[in-house]
Amino acid sequence: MLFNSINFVLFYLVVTFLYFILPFKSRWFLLLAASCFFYMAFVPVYILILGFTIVIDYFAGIYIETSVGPRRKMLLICSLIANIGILAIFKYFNFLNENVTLVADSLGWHNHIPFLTMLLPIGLSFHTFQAMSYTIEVYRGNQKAEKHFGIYSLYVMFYPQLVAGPIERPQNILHQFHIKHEFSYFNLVSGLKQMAYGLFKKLVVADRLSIYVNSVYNNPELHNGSSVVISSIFFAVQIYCDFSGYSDIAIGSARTMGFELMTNFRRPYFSKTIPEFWSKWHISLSTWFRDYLYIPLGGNRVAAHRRYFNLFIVFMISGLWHGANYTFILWGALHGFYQVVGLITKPYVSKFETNAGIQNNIIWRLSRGLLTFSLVTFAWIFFRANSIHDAFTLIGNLRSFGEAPFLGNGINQFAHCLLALTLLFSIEYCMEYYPEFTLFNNRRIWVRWGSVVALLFIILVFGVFNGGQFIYFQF
Amino acid sequence: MRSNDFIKFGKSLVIFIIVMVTVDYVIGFSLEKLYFSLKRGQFAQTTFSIDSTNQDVIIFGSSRALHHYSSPIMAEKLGTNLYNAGRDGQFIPYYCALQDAILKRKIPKLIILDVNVWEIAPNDEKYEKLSMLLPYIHNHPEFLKYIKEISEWEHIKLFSKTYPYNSTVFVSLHDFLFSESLPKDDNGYFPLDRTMSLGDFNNYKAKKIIYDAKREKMKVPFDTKAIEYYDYFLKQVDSLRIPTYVVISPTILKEPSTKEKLLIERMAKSHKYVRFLDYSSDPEYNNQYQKFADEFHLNTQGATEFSYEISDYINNDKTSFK
Repeated sequence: MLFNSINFVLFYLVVTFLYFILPFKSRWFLLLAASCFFYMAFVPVYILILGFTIVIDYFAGIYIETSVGPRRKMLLICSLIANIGILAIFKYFNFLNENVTLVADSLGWHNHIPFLTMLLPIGLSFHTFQAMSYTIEVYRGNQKAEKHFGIYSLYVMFYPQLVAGPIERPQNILHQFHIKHEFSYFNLVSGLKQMAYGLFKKLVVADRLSIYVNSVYNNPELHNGSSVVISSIFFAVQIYCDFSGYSDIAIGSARTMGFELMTNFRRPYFSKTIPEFWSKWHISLSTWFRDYLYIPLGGNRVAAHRRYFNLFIVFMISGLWHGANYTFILWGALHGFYQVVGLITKPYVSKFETNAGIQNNIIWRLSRGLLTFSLVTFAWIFFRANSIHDAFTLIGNLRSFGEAPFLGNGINQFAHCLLALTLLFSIEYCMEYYPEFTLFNNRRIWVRWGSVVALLFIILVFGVFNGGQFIYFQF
Repeated sequence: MRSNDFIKFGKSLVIFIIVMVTVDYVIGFSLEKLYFSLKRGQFAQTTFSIDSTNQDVIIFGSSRALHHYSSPIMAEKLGTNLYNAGRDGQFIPYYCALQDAILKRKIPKLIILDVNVWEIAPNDEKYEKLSMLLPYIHNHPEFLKYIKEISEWEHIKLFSKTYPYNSTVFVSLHDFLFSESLPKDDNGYFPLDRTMSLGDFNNYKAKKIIYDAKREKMKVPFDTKAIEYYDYFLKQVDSLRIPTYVVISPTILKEPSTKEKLLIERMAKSHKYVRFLDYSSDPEYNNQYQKFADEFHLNTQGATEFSYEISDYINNDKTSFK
């Protein structure tokens, strides 16, 4: 069930209505049943996989809490192995097998291991990471083990964030299931507005840009440098709007029932540096890697060369998290490389800025912003390309940058793309630099209402209503 | 439940719905007026095809029909009036919808259905593009079954007066403001004046060879729904005894005999009032890139030649229907 479908609208209305009319004691059951229904709308049988990890982690949490010493650690390891094992089987087995086959073929051997023909369970990487954060936090003593099996299941399965995040921490969300949320006008209206804005990002921007992006990226040899540059910029915006649009709908729909999910995006393309970009992009995943991988590896407290190595590895693994393909690994590695170069050059850049007195110079700041956006966009080429070969074909095509670009299926599509970008940039620019000037929560009622009505009609008039699923569902 | 908040929300919701319905009506009405005031361009042509086509010979098809059949040449050669109702990017479901609208009004004396070799291969686009019919749904309830192919909830979305004009604003405004500068169609026919370059032809040829070899090994399923639509179109003309030619018009490279192509042919030949013509392996056109505007469409020279050729064929063959 996609957030951008009428099915979801009906589902959401029924669940939210029932949530507030049911007595508090029954609400957890309603949300759990609704979440199961939501998940089973994709591939019903995969709920068994989810159920398996829930049972393992539920008991692991309880036993970890009551254990001490090596047993405690052993229980954590068992839980992590179960979670990572499932991820490995469903997500990485075929990739590994493919590589074994390649190596075997080159050595003249034959690999007899069959490939799995199952579809990847939707959102597997998201709920697995969320489940792992629970057992780790219980192990670290930061979170009490949840005794209520239904509530724990809900922690993993809460439908707004089940298939594409935000990847929640138990400290933030688990206790909220024990609180009685009263019907609140403010929560309902602000949640609905956030959902509408998410829908705008998805239908008006992401799905519109995807038409152009797909034309270029699915036929890389046909397009010149100008088209590659335009489609890559479009993809940078597409993936932001697709994913942050999903997060907005998730956060908004949870808020209407009184739940506060963590912020996942904070306008990352206004960043001046790559680390700043990562502090604003997919925050729930980047902080997950920081807390559960980078810091345990030594964090910032190790020697410089070790820190660079750790950063690089963390970003490579982050790439692999996105998908079992070399394109994602290369994308992650490229970001790791950016981070390392950024760290090495940081003292020199700071010194230069101080000496030249340009820290607050608008042109300097704009240049840094543009450089960051360009680096991020260049890395997206690997993320979006269908293969490494395609990525390098596209990069090779950049040589013919001067030629006239492909304009899509008629100027109409391109005009829609430009309108979508202009609208998005205007709204996000105001949010970033003039937070006091808010359209959707303006003090004047006619601005507040007018902007919401305008947003909905922009969706109706310019949105793409058959754009399909969210990109991050595949992860 | 905080009752104050609940009442406040209830009141706001009622006002919001009233505002939305009013704005929807105003915007939808304005877009409708704009859309149906267009005199030239693709929307105006679609409106004419659906609401006013009254000719004795009608050509159905995609952009290949639109650019391949010269209405003036064929009208003159066949000695009758003719309309080319081909439409860019459309497939068999659209031809069926159009056929329903036209047959309600008039029984043509001859139909030409130009089909693509990939007409019955799986491709969701052919159903998504039926959204072109949305502005006409109120006057053509027969389109409802086609609209449902876009998505299961399409009829719900049609409660909005604005939604049928989704993504039409820029084209409507352009066609309205620059009406005089738009090329005028000649009874639906749009000639393409450019000529494909040798370089582009060789590039396409290299890719097509690889593609055909790959496709030969692939198991491409049929789009059963598209087959049903094709069958529906043929049964309609057969039951009304309208002489019909199903044509695969010229292609720049010889098209292999795929199972889709064979099925198209077999189904056409199984109807008494339907003839099947295949120009996709005609050496007069294959590799003759000078007759093509791009890899898929004949240019003016090619279309002129083809229009004469098919008109002559029909003139000679007409008696076979009797």
